[in-house]
Amino acid sequence: MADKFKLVIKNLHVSVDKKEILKGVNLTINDGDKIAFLGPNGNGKSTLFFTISGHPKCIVTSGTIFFNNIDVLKLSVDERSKLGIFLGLQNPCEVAGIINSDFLKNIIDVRNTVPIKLFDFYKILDQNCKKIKFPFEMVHRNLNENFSGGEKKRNEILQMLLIKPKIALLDEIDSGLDSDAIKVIAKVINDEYKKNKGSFVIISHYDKMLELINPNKVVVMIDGKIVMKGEKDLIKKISEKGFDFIKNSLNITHDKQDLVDECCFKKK
Amino acid sequence: MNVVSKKNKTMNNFFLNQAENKEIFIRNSKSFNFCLEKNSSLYIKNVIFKPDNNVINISGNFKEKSIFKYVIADFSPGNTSLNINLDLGNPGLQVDVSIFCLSFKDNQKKFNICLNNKNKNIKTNIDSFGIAFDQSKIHFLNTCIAQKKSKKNILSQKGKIIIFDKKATGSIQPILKIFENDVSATHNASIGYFNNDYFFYLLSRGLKTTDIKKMLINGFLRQASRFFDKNVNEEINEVVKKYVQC
Ligand SMILES: Nc1ncnc2c1ncn2[C@@H]1O[C@H](COP(=O)(O)OP(=O)(O)O)[C@@H](O)[C@H]1O
Ligand SMILES: [Mg+2]
Repeated sequence: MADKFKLVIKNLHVSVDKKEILKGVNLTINDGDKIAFLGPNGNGKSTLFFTISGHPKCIVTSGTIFFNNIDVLKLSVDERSKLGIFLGLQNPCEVAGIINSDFLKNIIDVRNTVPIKLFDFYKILDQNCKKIKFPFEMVHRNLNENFSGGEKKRNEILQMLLIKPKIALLDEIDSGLDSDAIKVIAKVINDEYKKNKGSFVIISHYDKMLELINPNKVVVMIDGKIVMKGEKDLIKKISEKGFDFIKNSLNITHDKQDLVDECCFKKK
Repeated sequence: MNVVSKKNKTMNNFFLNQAENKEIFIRNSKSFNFCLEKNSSLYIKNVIFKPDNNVINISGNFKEKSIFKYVIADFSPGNTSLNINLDLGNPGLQVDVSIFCLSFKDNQKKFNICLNNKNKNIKTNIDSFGIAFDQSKIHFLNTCIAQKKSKKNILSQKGKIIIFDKKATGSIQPILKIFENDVSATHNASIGYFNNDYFFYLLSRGLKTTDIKKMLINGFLRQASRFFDKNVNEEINEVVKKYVQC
């Protein structure tokens, strides 16, 4: 269909509030990737997503992010979004004063030269709400205001479905969801993947979600670096042994980070 | 007697007979005084567009079981000072005040409502909602007093201000003074600052700052428009469009 794309992150160093959080991240997201992005809490996963999307709190001190030949770091937050990068937030803001449906229509309209007709918009909205089992009334409320954790997450997925991004960065999109809801969201992601391709990078702590998503790659971040890349079996290993086995092996191979980078994802 | 109008020509007076109902639309700022006979009900709808220094003073007298409702939507590119000061001395009265205010540039908007309940079965409600843009200021001072003998009174207040720009400010002072046990009172005040996280969230969906402004104003208008007729709402939309373009 569309041209293939590639997001390449090289040697990315990022500080938040003058504290270095990302300490040289190397990662390539290819068109068609479905990546499970793992790592213990507080190690910089969300920070990487925020940096890719351009949150002003994330100060890039060195390194590059390129989308094909476009220098992403030079773009404003909304330009990155229009480039096709979508961030599903771990904790979406509650925006008092903005009506959800107005917001949802606007995020479609800013991508088109002509605003979508109201009738067509409501049709699309209705279809997508049904897909994610999101009560339609929620679109008439203020954006995320007094939504439950699960409702906020569904609203993020709803936005993703309307925007149809090239790269979806989903930050703990399953937290706050019960197991039925996790199945629904996983199915939506898989269906989108089948239909529109593009790529997904998914942060999750739930084996169930990761199993359903069936990623083609797994990357692990510890202390602001991607310390391991592998395939699906890595998820099982981590869920059995925890992240410690990686940390332990790291002590030995710490200087061999480049080697780890090179070796990973090689087909057996 | 019509003492007030002699003193002040710009002051309107409304006298309602027993069980009379009246709904009045006021354009721009006008102070008024009212006198409500038993079981009467006065509903004033006020819209302000004029770039003026708007001063509105409202006072009135109530007889038993009379009702006063007032809604003001202030879109004026100027300062506004609204003062409502009402003594509620008879049983079964009802007062309902709704304030909607958009402020821009260096406008200062002050809304000072004081309801003093002195008898039984009185219901009062104050609802205030404002959005402050640019360097403007919005101030809601809502005072509700339930004196002794104001048994079975229901007092409620809601205040919400959204501060859009870093230099805009807003304050809500909800004051409840209760001297009677048999009263139910609720108040709820919130000030929402559009900080970096809000902007980031919305911008990360591809929206621009003007889009965000537009959506906020849309949300605001949706709430305010419930109170006004179609033609007034159309006029409001026209006026407000101009503000968004900057
Ligand atoms: N606004 C902030 N100010 C200071 N430190 C922050 C801020 N946000 C995140 N951090 C810190 O950055 C580190 C990485 O956090 P985060 O990227 O959220 O980790 P993860 O998503 O892997 O759990 C943590 O130590 C966290 O405390
Ligand atoms: Mg996180």
